[in-house]
Amino acid sequence: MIKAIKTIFEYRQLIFALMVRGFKEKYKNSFLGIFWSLLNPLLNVLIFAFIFTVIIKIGIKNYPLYLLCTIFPWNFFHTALTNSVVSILEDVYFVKNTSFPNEAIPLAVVIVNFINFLIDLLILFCILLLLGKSINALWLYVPFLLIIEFFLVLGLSVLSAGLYVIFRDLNFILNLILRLFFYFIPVIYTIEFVPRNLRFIYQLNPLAVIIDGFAKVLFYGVAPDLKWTIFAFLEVIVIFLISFKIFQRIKKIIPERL
Amino acid sequence: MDRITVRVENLNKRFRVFHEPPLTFQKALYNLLRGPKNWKQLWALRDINFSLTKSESVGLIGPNASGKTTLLRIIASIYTPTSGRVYVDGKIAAFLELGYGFHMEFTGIENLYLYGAVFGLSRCQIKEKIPLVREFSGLNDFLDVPLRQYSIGMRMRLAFALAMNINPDILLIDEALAVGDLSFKEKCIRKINELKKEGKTLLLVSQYMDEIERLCDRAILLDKGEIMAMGSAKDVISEYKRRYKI
Repeated sequence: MIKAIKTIFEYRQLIFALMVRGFKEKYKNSFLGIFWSLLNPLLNVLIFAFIFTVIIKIGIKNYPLYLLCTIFPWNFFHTALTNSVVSILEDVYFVKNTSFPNEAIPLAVVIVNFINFLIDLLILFCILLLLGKSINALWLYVPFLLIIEFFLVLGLSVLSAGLYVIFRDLNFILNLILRLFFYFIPVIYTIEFVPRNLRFIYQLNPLAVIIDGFAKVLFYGVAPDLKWTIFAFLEVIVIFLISFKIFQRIKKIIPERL
Repeated sequence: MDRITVRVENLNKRFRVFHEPPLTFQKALYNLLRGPKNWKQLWALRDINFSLTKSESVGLIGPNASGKTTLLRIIASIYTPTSGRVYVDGKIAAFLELGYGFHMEFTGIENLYLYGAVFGLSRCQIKEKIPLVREFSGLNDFLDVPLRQYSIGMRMRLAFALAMNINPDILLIDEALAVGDLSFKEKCIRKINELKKEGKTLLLVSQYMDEIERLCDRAILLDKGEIMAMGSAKDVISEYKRRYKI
């Protein structure tokens, strides 16, 4: 495990080069690129804001702003994972013809999306300040939530990128799961809407806890549920280690199965 | 006797050959119920033994699908052997399917940064090599143009020019000289001879016997995954020609 991490570190130049490629692809060398990558989450915000304030009254004050606070963390999870799953297969010529730790490919994808997420958050902070919220000591929770989400996404991305080489219907399955997941995570509603006796099921899901944490800190200005956040942190460590371990098992046959 | 840089001992490689499209979860479930076995075993390499020494260049010849590229991939530790061992002493670089994997929307220079990094070079090292690549490839101003405007020959030139300037101890080259015009080919052959003099080890796969004869001291004939002949390049080539009545 430590040896594997060391090898990845030795290839940091490659990871950097892959990241540069990722950014250039994403932004197509233009400033407008950032706007394009914002378009998708913003469209979602518009749709849900329309449905839940005009058609059905959801009863969350400043609902569009609430959506902005939850949709960016969800968008990072969703985009990073769907981009990663096909990433090793897309770089078939590199994987088949040179020897390097293949985790580098999904790792670079996740980092690119993470930096994109940070830019989104920066924009969100500006909006919050413009709307009269003041800088708040609670925002110090944000880095902690970011770290948990990063390792959750990284573990799942590396695992699914490896498994996809062997099981070629994984991306369809993943898309279905992600769509289901979206509605069972407090993105368009708050966790308080969930009946009390079912709420623990939500809180066992680290992503739900993270997104609820973002909503609490940024939108409500209260501290996240510390007990469940720490539990999510421990879960993420386990998920990350297991994913990484499985990948080390299957990485031997990845170049052959491409 | 020179120092041994690559030693292959009792190497075997078995592949699963799937007669169907790649596995899916759906099919894995189906196989679980029916019992697996939608694949056949294929021994791509059987009991391979040889060694290469410093400043030696060896040709690897044989018909298509005889296991040449698989052998290179195992030596470069891309594939893992089914049994047997490979010892490598020195920095190794394998040039397989050169010119593929480039990003078509990126310029030549941008691609060099990515391609070089895949070969383990740092950004500074690549920066130093760009003038060398510009000179060697003869692409000049084309290096600043997106790759989709290159011809295949130009793409290979770019890849080969970088490969020739990476500077490993052991070079594995797979049919890379097949493209490029005559003058570029001559340039490559001169460069390979230079590398040999510098003490590099070369393992060269080619279908062009004149190349093998010009570049290699020894040759290995591979067929259906087994070594059929090994010895001086001349002898092995005539054995190859005799065997297949060319």
